[in-house]
Amino acid sequence: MGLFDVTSAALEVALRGAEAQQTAISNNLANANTPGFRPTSVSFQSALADALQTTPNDATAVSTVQPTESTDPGIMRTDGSGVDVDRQSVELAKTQILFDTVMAMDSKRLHTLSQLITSAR
Amino acid sequence: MSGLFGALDISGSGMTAERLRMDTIANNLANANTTRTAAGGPYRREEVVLRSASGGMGMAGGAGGFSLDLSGGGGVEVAGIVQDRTPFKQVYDPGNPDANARGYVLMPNVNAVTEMTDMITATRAYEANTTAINAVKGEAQHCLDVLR
Repeated sequence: MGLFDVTSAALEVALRGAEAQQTAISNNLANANTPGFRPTSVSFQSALADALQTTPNDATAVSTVQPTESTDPGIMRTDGSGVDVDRQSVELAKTQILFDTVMAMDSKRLHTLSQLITSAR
Repeated sequence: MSGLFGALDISGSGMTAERLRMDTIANNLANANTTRTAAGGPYRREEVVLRSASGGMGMAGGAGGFSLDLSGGGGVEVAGIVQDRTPFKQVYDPGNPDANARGYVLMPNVNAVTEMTDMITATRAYEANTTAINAVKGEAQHCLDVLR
């Protein structure tokens, strides 16, 4: 376990991805009543999984993974808006759980590191 | 999406479906006295038909060498909005411009009491879905507490 190893890089990518997801969902919910608005969604999981599989020991390569934003197909309502408030709320709940999980793992790791540093003194 | 968040997607589809039911009920009530429509004649009551979405969620089992189907449902989806074919009400109102030669007006086949009870079931079903979502969220939080 290093200070800036591949795990902390992956956790950072996941945190950034969850944050981007949250931004996209907030934007979708804000435009829930905008006629013709097409909601967007953000994904980073598959890109991160690919990076971890191809370069499992390269922290720099893993940390370059960027979340990708895509526009959702399908129109739900006659005003041309595709925002489904219920689905967006569910996505928000998922993102919050994901963010909390990654944050808990990250703080746990940092706590272990700080304990190591303290005991080395 | 399967696994931890599968239940959230399923409950989300339920919320979407119940919201559409609510919209349709509101439309029925709003048009309870509409005698003219684009298709001609009075407004016809509409109803949402729901069907269970085919799997794809849940998980593939098979522990211990035997095949075990653990795949849950895929939530609910709207099969369509259909018209209620029950006959229209006839109301005697000779002064109405839409009255026929005998003075009767065809009124929509919307019954306010039916719509109100449907509204209650839609509201309760929506609440049930949000309760399920909160339960899953609580589960995930407890799982997270183990990590902390």
